[in-house]
Amino acid sequence: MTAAGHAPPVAQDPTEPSSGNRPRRRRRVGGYRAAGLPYLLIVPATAIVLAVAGWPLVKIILLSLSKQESGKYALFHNRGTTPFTGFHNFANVLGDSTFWTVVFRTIVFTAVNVGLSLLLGIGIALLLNRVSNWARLLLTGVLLFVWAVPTTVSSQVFYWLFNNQFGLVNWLLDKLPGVNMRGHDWFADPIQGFGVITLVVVWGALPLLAISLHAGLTQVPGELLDAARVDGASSWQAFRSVTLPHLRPLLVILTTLSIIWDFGVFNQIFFMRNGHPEPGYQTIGVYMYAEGVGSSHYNLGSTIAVLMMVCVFAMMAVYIRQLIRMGDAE
Amino acid sequence: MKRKAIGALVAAAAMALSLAACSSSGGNSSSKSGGISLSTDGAGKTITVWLQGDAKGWQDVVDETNQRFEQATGAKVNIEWQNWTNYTTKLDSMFSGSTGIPDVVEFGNTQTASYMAAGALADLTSLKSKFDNSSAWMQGLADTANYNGKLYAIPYYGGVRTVIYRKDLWSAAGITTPPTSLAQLYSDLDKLKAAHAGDSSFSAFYMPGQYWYAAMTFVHDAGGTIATEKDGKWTAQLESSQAQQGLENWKKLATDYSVGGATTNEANQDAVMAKGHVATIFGSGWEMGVVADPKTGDPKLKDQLATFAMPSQTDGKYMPSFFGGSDLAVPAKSSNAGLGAEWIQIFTDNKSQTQLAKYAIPNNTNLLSAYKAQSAANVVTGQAAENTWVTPTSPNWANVESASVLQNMLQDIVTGKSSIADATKAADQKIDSTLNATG
Repeated sequence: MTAAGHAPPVAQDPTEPSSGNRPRRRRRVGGYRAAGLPYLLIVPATAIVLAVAGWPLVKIILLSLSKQESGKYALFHNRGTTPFTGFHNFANVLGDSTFWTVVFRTIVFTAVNVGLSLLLGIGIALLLNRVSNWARLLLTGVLLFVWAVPTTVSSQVFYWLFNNQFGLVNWLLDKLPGVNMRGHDWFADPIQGFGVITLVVVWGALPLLAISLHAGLTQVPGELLDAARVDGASSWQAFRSVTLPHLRPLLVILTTLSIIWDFGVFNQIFFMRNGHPEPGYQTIGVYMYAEGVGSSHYNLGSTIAVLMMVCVFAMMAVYIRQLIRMGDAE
Repeated sequence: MKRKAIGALVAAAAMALSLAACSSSGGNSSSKSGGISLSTDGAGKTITVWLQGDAKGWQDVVDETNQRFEQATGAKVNIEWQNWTNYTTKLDSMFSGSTGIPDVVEFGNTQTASYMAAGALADLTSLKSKFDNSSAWMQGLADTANYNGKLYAIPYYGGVRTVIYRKDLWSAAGITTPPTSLAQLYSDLDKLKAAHAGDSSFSAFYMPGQYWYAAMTFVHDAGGTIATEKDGKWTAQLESSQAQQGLENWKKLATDYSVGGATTNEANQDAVMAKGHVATIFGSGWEMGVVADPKTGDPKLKDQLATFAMPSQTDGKYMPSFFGGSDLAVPAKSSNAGLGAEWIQIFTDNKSQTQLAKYAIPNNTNLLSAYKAQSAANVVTGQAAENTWVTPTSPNWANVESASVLQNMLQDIVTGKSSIADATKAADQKIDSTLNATG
């Protein structure tokens, strides 16, 4: 759900007319017989999507509606099928106050991470737009390098940086006058621990955001900015009234993607907490793993997974509507 | 146009369904209801054995077993090395499938119950006498190999934890003899702490905050236990005053004498000790090798490490040890069950176990003397193995472990997030509901 979608979205320019219309008409000349060809061509892709995403989804929904046995007998003997119990599992999960704490924690975590990564992303994009060519190249190179580091590796590196005994961060902070950070355990308190985790998540999200937003910025017509400046607009006013509206479609897409990724953050938390995140560190993905896979309660886990999808869709409904509206406007 | 689109979608969906059907219908399960018999008819066959990486420490025993097995049966052996982390998840997915089932599987002795109860393992009851030393199996292993009066697993090896200490640091602090009571241990640690007052990362006794095997050892020493069973119903006992006293004793170690491990488990305590700021740890005998290993530790410490049994709060006694270890079993769905059992038979026979006794506690008491004869450290662990405690034998115990109930409780205690009374109360509730969960 996270890594697969990391291709940069193409920056769209809303001022240019959609370029697809005329060539498409020309292709039609191929005639009536070729009309089925596009469908034939998408069959393999559709089949793969259905097989690797659609089928597991159906299975997960079926699992979530079946009885959760405490033992593993059914799991090993009836191909994991247990009697249907309707929405019994849902009632159980939704009736558990832990679930709601986890959902609240996840929403706060997502909001903080999406907000921070977008703000910093725009900041770096603006910087990329201003600096000289070689600096831009260097910065882009560094960003690409950050992008290439798998989350498992970056989590491990940050974990060691923040290690309470031998970590670099404590050592550096301790050098400051009046600060005693010797042996400070960043993970004893989940709020501090989430601070470190947020750092890794934002660090990993920045390259994509900065590079795509920089691409978006290059599409902002210079003459409009010049005109704004001539009319006496401050840089902030020019940014707000000229640049931002041009970036909006891109920002909507990036925000949507960021929400999907940050809502489902798993690796960073899982590795920072040595494969057993404590209750205070459980966001919904981790909670699902701990309750479902970790405890061999696959029906309950599936129920949480279905609820997680519902949460994501609910949060994204606003953005999807906006996307559709933008599509209509074009 | 629209109809065609729907047609294409349906075709795609049908294709996806048939693909999925292919993947799930392959192979018929060959589960047998009755017992199995040993087989030596293996020409042209290959059996798959899941062993934990620990056995790389006694690769010679594994290699020789494979040779003898290949000679006896003509079958080949494919060892697939496993890792303890999230092992039950892997076992679950393997046992619920019908292909790729190994013929021999290693289990941690606290993991077997749920799989025996679920009918995942072949019944070996009628073969018991064919396994060497089966009348003298270590109790801590034999208890975990039986379910409802039937034998489903064969004890493999065991281990107990003792105190591992730096002789140089201890004697430099003026301590000449190992402590014989917990109070004396604390006062020795006070001396060590005072001798290294200038080193803020010094641990007189490094005790990670999630080290539940250690903490439960203290609980059992104080007369407590994790949970008791009556008429099929489990009741968690960590709130009892004895258990709380044990946790109090343990907490003193983890907070007064240990630095830097409050939110970690014991997995890398050997590496931490090798860094030089730790005078004492609680671990299995083989961990001394890891501490002094040139790759993972510091070879200079090789001759500086020694062991003693963890002294009890009762003068002159030692704490009962958690008997950790492994069992070997044949999956009920194995297609070469007889050959699998034959491989286990060779791997656990008197010859192999005598060899294994060089590295770990063998699966039977007959060979304990051979184990103790290896080293002074083995004498300590061999004695400790005679007084042991085990985890609750409920099939649901594995879920308590995988949900980290005890680890979370201990960490809350060590970091001061909860009092011992509150933390044990919360953990008891979780343990009760997990152990007594019914279908």
